[in-house]
Amino acid sequence: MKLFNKIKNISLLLATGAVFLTACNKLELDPVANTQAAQETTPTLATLLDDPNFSILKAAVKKAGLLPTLSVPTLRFTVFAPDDAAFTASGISAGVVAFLDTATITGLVKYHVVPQVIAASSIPSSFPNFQYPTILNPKPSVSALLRLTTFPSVRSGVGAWVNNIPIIATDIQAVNGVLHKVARVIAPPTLDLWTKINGESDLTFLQAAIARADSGVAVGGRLQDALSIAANPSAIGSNLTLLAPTDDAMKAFLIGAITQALVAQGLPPAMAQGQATFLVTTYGTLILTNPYALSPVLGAAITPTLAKGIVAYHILSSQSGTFAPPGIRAFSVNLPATATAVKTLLNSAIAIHPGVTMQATFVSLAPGVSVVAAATVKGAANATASNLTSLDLHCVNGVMHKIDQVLRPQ
Amino acid sequence: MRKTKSYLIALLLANIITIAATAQTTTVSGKVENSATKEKVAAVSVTVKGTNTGTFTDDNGNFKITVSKLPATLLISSIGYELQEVTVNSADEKPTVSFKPSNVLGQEVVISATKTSQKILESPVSIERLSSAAIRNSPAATYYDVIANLKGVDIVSSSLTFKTPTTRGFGGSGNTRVNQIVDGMDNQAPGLNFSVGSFIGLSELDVDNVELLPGASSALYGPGGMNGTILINSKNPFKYQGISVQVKEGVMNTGHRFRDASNYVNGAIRIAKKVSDKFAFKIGAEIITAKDWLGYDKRNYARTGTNGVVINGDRATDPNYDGVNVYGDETTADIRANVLDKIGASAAPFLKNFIDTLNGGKPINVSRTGYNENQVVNNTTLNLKLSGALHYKVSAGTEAILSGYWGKGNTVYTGSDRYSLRNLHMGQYKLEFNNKNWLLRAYTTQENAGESYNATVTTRLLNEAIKPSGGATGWFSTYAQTYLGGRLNGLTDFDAQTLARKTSDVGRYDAGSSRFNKAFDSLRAIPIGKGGGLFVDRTNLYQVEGQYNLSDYTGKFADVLVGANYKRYVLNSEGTLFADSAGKIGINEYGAYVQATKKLLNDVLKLTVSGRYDKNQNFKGRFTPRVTALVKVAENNNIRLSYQTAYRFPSTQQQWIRLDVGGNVKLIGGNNFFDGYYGFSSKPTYYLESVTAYKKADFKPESVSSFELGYKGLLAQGKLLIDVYGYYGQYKDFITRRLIIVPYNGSQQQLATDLASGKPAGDLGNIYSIPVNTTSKVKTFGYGLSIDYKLPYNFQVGANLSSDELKDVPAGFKTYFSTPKYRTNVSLANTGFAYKKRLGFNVTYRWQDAFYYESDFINGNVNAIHTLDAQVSYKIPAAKSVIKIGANNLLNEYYTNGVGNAVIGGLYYVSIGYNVF
Repeated sequence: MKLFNKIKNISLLLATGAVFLTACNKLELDPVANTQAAQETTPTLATLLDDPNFSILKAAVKKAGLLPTLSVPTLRFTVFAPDDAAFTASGISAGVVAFLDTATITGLVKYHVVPQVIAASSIPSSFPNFQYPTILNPKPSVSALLRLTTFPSVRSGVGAWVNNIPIIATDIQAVNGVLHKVARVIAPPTLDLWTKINGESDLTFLQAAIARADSGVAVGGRLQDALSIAANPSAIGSNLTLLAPTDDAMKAFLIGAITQALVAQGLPPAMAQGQATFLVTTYGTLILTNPYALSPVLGAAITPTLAKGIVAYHILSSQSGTFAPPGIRAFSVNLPATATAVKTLLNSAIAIHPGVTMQATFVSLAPGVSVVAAATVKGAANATASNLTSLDLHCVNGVMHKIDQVLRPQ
Repeated sequence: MRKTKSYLIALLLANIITIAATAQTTTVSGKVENSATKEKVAAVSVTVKGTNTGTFTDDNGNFKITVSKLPATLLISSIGYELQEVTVNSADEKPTVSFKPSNVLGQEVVISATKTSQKILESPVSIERLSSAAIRNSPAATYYDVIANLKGVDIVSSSLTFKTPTTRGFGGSGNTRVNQIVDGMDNQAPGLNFSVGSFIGLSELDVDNVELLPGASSALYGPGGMNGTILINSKNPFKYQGISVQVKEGVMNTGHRFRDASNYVNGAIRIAKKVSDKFAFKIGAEIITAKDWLGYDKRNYARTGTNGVVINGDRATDPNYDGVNVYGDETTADIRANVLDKIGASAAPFLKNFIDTLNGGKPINVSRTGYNENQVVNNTTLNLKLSGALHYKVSAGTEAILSGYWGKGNTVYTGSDRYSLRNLHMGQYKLEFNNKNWLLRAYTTQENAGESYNATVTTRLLNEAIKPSGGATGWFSTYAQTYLGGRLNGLTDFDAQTLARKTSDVGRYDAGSSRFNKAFDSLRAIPIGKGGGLFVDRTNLYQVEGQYNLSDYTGKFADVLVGANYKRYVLNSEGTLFADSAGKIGINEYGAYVQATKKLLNDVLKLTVSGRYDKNQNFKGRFTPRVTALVKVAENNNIRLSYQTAYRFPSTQQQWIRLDVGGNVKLIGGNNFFDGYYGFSSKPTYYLESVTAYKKADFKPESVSSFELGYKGLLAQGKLLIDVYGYYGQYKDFITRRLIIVPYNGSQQQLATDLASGKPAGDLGNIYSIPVNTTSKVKTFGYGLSIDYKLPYNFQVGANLSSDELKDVPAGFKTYFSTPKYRTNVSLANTGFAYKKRLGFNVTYRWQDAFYYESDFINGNVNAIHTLDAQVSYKIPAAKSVIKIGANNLLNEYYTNGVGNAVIGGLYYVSIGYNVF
């Protein structure tokens, strides 16, 4: 009966155990919410602008109606903030801000605001540039997703920039983002490259060269179409870098080309050059747009193929191969500090072409703050490098630098 | 062969035709009443001592029996009463027998352990029995719930009326490892594979007893029964007569936590009449209506086909949230790959860099917004059971039974998804001849899924009908663009996701609105294969079986029993559940068994050897042996020892299912047909979890062999009943499921890379969940102990504790063991106390341990469960009635015993029973 006693004991234990167990079922049915990081409420990007050095910016932000947006702690932005000195250096005073119409100011301010947090450490050093959409939609009627983009970049030991504007102080933290001080106002581009070329009085020959290159090409496949966003507003993302030879450079090039053609016709060089100079001076861009009307010799010398080759050689490209999109928007600050070969659109046709050689000379304004003092580009067949005479003409679909010699591919 | 047949027929005939008695006879009558309560006692056996003549008391306690000479001695017996002898001297005597309730436990007789009658104390294998008296006195609202309180039993409740019991592991809704046999018929719905005992079986008033054989038991009952066989037997109309009525009116959902309090109504009637000594009939009906328990698990589930795990996150904080009991949110897509990357590539190249930085460059998986269970599952329980039987005594020893059981209703079942079983009906029809020595039975199971539908599939389709997921203006495109726009306006990821969901959900139908109902109702009426959620299933089963006890011929050497059966399944789902779009699929199975019993050593040792052979047309034949030994250590104290085997042919679904379960996963059967159809052998195919090459293996039946040692004994003058057992089992060729993938681009390396990067597997290739056999042996072991003690004044206390464990499961295999390691039941009851001993009560407490639940629907932890059931009853003998107030889950402590299944609260009822015996 020992076993019996044992069993009796166990049963008693069970019975008492059952009574004392608090009959409480733990029911797990409710989902466990993923925790959101606790949200601080101050300082916001808006309160950072209370700094007296940002008085003009704050006025502009206020006028643009963006102060409430920058106060929302749950939104996230990066503000590239020109202080008062930067505004002044850019020629915009508090008075100008008050004077300009709201739409202009709004566009200007919005171009300084990126809807995501870009810490200084995450500004990319890679090239081609990484583009960040700003909150500026140039044409909301076209698409709610349309955004002008901005191009923060960094070069180790040289500096950091937004487009070509140096960043002079980084990582000023707010609960809803980060603020970087910039040395100048970053002007939002308004025109596309084609419109810009048409508006420049010293780029008439370039414009004519493009027209010549496009003669006989259907709409949509023309170089002009590649430089314009008229047909496709989203082409603001095509990212072109155009090295634009000025009229003087184009004239010099044309004189050289015509002289060569005339010498080949049997004219003595001195006479040929004189005549070529005369033709170019007299007929101007007509030589490019319709040389046949002037002379068959000119027509044979200045072919659409030549024009196309020359224009393509002035557009930088990140890659080679058929139909490869250029995808480069190289501000002067993005140019290499040592002479470096860069591909052009010509590499789409001739993959192994050496491209152009580019080099920029930086000048340091402060530790970690540099701008480009001078820059050159040399064509494969040029004897000397041409200078970039007018830098960083920023357009919605690319950037343009004027040069003083036509680049010759061969 | 021909000769054997005619010999068999001759044998049968010899038993049917008996020589008519020629002696002169007298009819004596009398009455039996309870000595304590003076209640009339029905269904008491009255036999003439020394003869085979016997009858039963009717519902008024009256009996009438023919005797050949006077004086005659009558034996009056019934379980729970002391055997009584009454001598009748004249036909006019009409004695009133004062029948004394017994104080001794363990007097029940069981049949299922060896297919022959024996005292439960002498069963050579573990067995549990529930008598109609136990059911009557139980606090449970239905007799199925009483089974849960038996030692070693676990139940998974998919809904109020859909409960699936198991023993020794492998719990789950629609368990295929437990046989449920009602009046000799396999109760499994042949197409849906679940046993419908609690839904279409017997009404409570018609249940005579329930016997449960835990563990492996197919040596006598055929394939299946790996984890037990439950045998439910109805009341013979010759024995139980009269009109019985029972009405339970209750209230549930009183917690107001998931839905408002609602009525529970359960009405049952049984009419049985013994028309003559040769003919009796019975009809019965039961109806249950209620608002069902709801599946309410809103936790987030990371799902890949039939695998997955509960994770953090809710609808607000996880864009890819997939709630367990939330439907329609299984539709998921990576909006980066499907929308955003395309925007960056063409429409908005200026945003490409920005898009690349979103979510750290990783996929942005988003799920559609779902609906809750109560919005898409028909939670109005309705259950109608009808049954009828004609019993005719062909001869004194042979009874012919023609019976039909039919059930219909609405309930909720959990398979690979939650299914709203709507107007499901199933009928079982049987013709049976049984004799003391033999049995011949033919029956059919006719299943019809009615308007049943898959809640997940239907709700996903509803979402598509409201707003298509794909396309330029589709839900995901709208979502992605709004999300991107939000991010461009400086919104955080969280806020942008919230805004995107709000925007894409514009126009979403409110649950319960007329357009919601219209769309949902039309979708659930379209078969799954044709773009709806309806599953068509009219699978039928036909079985013929016979058994012969040869002991009369072989008795000198041993008692021998032989039997055989033939079974045919006809799968018919019109391609919605099985791969039978081309036509019905037939599956044939046959088997035969033999059992020999011999008593040795002066009856101290009883040895039984059984063996069974079965063959399924799609699988090799199997032999399952069983050896048992019973050692009588003292009177009413026995030690039992057994080696049992069981095996299971893959279920009809494991052979032939073909069902889309979402996420580009198809649940398919193991038939070779699929291998060729989907080209696993011809195309590069990999195991999803390991990305190793898929190797085809023969799909085999699984089997289990089990050793058991037990003791059952009656102590303390019959007041204490103890039962102890321990078992060790080994599963071989265990059937489980694995996921394989046929990647779109065929590359193993690419697949591995893509999976590692977090891309949804369903985007990379077609995934199939295939049934496979494990190569290694899986071990189970466990033990159980129960104690019942009869106290003075009709009090009885009982407690049981049992444990089951599974060991040596290979990694990567899903076992579906889903069973708590420990469970215990403790009860205290009284069958008659206070005023004229008319009051009774029963309190039962159950606790089960926490466990990890695995199913094709959801895997996750089930917490420990405590339930307290109680009832108090009062008898009114004059009106032959009992009033009972009962509560299941008295403390209204909500629980779920299978993840993703119904959340069960308290059910409180008052019942009035008339003539319930």
